[in-house]
Amino acid sequence: MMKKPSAEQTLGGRLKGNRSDKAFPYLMIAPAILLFCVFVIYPFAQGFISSFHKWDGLSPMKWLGLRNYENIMQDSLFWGAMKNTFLYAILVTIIKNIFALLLALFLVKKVLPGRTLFRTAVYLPVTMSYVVIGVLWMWIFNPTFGLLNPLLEFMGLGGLIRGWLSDPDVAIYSVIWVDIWKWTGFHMVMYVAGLNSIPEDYYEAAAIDGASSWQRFWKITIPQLNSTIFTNLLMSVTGAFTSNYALVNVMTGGGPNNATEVAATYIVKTGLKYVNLGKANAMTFVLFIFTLVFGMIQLKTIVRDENYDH
Amino acid sequence: MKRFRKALVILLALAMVMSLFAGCNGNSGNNNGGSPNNGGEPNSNGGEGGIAGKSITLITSDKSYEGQADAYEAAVQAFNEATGANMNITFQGKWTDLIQTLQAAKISGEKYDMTSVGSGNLHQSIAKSGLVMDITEIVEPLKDRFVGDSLSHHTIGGHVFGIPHGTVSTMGVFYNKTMLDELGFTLENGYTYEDLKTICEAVKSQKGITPIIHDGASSWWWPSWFFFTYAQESGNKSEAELEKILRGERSWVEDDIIAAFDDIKMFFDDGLIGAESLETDTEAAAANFVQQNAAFYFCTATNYVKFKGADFEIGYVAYPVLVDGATPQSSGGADEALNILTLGNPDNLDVCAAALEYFTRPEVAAPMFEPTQNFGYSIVGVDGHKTPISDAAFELFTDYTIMYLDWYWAAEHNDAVIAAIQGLTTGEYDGQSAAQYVQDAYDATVSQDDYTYEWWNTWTEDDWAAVAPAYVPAINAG
Repeated sequence: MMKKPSAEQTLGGRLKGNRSDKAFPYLMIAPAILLFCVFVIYPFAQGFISSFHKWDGLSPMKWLGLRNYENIMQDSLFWGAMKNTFLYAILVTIIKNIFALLLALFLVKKVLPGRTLFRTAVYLPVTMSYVVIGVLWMWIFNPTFGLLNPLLEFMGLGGLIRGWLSDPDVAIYSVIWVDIWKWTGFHMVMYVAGLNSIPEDYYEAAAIDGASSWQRFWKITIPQLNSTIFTNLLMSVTGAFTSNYALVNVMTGGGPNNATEVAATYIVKTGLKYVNLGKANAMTFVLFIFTLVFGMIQLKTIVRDENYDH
Repeated sequence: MKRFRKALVILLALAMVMSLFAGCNGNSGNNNGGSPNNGGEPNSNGGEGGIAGKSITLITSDKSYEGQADAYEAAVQAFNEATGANMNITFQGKWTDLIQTLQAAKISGEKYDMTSVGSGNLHQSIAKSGLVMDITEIVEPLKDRFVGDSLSHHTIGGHVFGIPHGTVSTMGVFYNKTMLDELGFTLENGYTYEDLKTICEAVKSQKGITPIIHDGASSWWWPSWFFFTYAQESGNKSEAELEKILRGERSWVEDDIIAAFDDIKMFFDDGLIGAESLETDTEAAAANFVQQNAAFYFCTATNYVKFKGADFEIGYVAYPVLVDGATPQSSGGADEALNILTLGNPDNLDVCAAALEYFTRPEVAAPMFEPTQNFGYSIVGVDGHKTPISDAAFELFTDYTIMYLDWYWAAEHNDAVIAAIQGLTTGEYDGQSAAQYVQDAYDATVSQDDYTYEWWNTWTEDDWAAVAPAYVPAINAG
């Protein structure tokens, strides 16, 4: 006996059902897409459009064509700020990851007394805001009453004493150091987690085979930490490009004589202080292109299949 | 399950549509439809009875002195009780963030009616952006309420864009009188650079401290060094000469400017002040002075309030004489103000005008200003706070002070002067290269941003119409 097909089994019913099935995932992600479009895509497009205009954020835009971009090409302050931005990103990424890995190797040892205290102490700066940390280190660096210079004097290193934020040759490195100090604990925790996940058997087998500590580090630890290192590097670079504004702004304001100016501080200054949002947005897009290229090179270099745990 | 999915699909679609409508409808609640051209007749007589029930908002930056925000709120409350109006006051961000706040308000359609723009921001960007109203006619009945020529500090091209309302300031030199007495020195206006150098050398050798401290980490104070050196090097014509430079009639790279920058460098080369001032903010500089780690503090007289706990006598004098025959002029002015915004509802102009009149009454203004404990204020009849240095500061303000030069030039020029002076302090520049650096920055603003000093002469009738009040509410200043 033939069963009468239900409404859902008829062609029309299937089509109706299919349409609903197909729409369902899109509608589920639609709120997120909508928010993404409103808060990311639209401002991005609006910023791009305004980069071809003279605009103070208050009056109507006036078309300038490529003039903002031509002006940027001639702006030595902007290129100085770009140089500092890349210096900042590269040094912060490399140094804090080396520090974090060394600390993790040191603190992962279960026999170390006070291990938890050390871990907490190193992690503590991560919980503080950039403003607090910036002011704290400004006072530590202060040549009149700061702690650093008397400490160097006490240690017999008086020759190293200098104006940490007033010497244009040193100031950018002082700010970079503070960023490293703030985030080393965060990356250390990730490395500790990575180190704890390496099976002890590997080290025991290597020891039986007569591998030295150095060989065990290079042949076992580093390859096993590959995915952790990749994640840490990616987070460091992204953070270094985007988070330098607050620290530089609080500690030096870009001075002395623009020695610590980074792209973010100069863009904000151009947009809000010089009330030139068109040029500021053009600078943002130049920075975007540079970081995109930098990111692509980094991805090409670092991303390999073996970097991922399967 | 499928019915549940369908219901969810419909629900989500509805929610999105509703949220879009809600987003698009955000501003309608605030706009009560007042037309700028309706003559504003019902409430244009400025009578306090006519403004009852109307709401306005004053947006201003956070008040930095203890108790000042409370004093403003109390004054607003008193205004509301006296008039029946509903004025609100909002404190938001630092004074340096005000442009950003107003830009955001403009873009989002927020209806702020009044603000408090510092004269520096007014001159450098806000007036020419068309954000504040030309209130020349509105405040005409109030013009006798302001001290000296303080109203001119908020007047550009003959148009009044705000009224002075708050402290007046002057830049000079705080010194540790007890320490100088102990070292056998006295300091009086008219002292020379050589006098100062002799004292500073004694301070260094006998006390082992930095003679002069300056709050250079608050970078906006650095140009004050140029103001006082250029005042003397220009033969006390710095304002007029600067206006020529900004009009493009002469260059930054000329002898008087170069000499002014070289004078600043001389202070550093002679060891009277060190590069550590670059790292010292206002609080740290005040702490250094109070703890006697520095004998002199070059800053605004308004900072006296920060010296609580000093257990020595403090003196305040003008800058030293650098050029024979020159007067050691200070820079200063009536920075704080009240302004009417073009962002507001034109129907509320009468409330704004009534507020300007009310807040400039001495008995109302005095408690608003008192938390600053300043030596002088911009409203006639409000006496300055009496301190050991208040008379000296007031004398400096009335006899030696010219308007801050950074109220003439653009923000880009100001940053260039700051960077040039920082370059002098670190030895990167001499007077010539510092002047050239500022000239390059000036040239860039002219060639790239079409900078014009007298922008008010380039405004069209439409531009002026956009900042003109829709009507002029009468103010009874009696």
